Amino acid sequence: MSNEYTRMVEGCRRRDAKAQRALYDAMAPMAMGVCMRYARDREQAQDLLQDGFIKVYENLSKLREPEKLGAWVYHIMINVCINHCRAAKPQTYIEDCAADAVTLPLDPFAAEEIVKALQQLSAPLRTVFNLIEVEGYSIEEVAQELKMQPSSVRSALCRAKAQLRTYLTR
Amino acid sequence: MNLQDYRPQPDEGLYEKIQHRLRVRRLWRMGGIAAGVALVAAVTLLLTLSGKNSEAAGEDLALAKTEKAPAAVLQPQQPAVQADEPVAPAATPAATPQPQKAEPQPAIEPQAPAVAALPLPQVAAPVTEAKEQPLPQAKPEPAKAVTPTKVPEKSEYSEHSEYSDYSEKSESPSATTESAKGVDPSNIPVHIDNLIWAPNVFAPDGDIDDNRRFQMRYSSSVTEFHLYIYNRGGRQVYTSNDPSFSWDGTHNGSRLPQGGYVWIAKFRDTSGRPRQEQGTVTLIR
Repeated sequence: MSNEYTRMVEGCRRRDAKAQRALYDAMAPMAMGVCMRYARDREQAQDLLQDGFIKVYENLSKLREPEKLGAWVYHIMINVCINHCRAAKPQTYIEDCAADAVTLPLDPFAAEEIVKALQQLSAPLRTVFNLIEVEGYSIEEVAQELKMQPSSVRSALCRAKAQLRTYLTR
Repeated sequence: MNLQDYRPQPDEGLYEKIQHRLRVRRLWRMGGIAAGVALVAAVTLLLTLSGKNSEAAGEDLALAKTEKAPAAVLQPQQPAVQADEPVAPAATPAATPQPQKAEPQPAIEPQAPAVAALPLPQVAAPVTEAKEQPLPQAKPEPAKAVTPTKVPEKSEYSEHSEYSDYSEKSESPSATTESAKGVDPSNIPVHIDNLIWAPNVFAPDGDIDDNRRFQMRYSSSVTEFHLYIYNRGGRQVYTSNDPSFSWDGTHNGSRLPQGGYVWIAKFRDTSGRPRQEQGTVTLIR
């Protein structure tokens, strides 16, 4: 697998069209999965995917460890999605509920269902939920990334969970 | 979390879109580099021109010119012979100012009198470097040359005559002129096949009617015309198959922001050859 990645990256650096296609085919479903979680619909997800892949192709020369291509692409996609959210007006949420107070058992649901519910949230709520619950960021990290107060992040996470629950159980 | 293993397939054709946007972005970068190079060239040209003007004011140009001139005239023999003809009648009066000019130059001093004598008998065969060297000095009109105060002007004249020589030579193959001499340079017809002319800037909100829309002009008819316009992000914002299109700077009814846009025009020229032209246009709000 990692050998394959190395070969792909080297091919792309030589501007080999086949290698570029192979890299896209290998990475697109994973990247699309990330974008679908952060976008409001499939269209927007594909826009984010395009932006992300342009970054990937243009910065491939900076990738030092080609065997970690998957993780690298994943992070580029998340950064593109975060930037997209950051471009929107920074939001403040009054701390009206504790994040831990809402439990959300996601396991019984299929990924498609969760993503569909996620896409109904507002962009900041969706981003906060994704970063913390899926990507495993801490509240402080998210606050720094999104230029929000940690208390706002906590509140946003709580709201996101509450709204998700209503969407999922409806 | 099962969400991390979520692997939906993106739409077909997305890869082609990405590749297309990458190409357009590369084009933009190349355009930027070309613009930079053009700018640098323009600035250096301006600097050298202004430098020459200021030098012309100073007397040392006479020295600089005489140093340069031999190098310029040395290469071919024909110009030397051509130059001989107009100079020959002038040679006698020119003989008087020449020693004056040669004075500041000790290196040419010994040659100067020899040259003054040489053009008179018109020795054609043994045209040597020694003869060619001082010729540009003898080039300027004798009337001007007699007055010693006009030394820098003389060199200016010689420069002009050189320039006109060059321009005549370079224009004659490309332009259709009956005789290069005596024709107003602004009236020389130049024919370039299938030239697309497109403005590099337009202002949809401007005061000038002609500049409100982006249109193209053609020197001859074009067929199978396709035009595409992209924004900086490589997204297509306008397309048309009509050569007489006119774009008002909007996309799906929304006014596009000020900035640079790339256009690509594909068409067949009068001989049916497929052609592609591209350029950039700046939209001003």
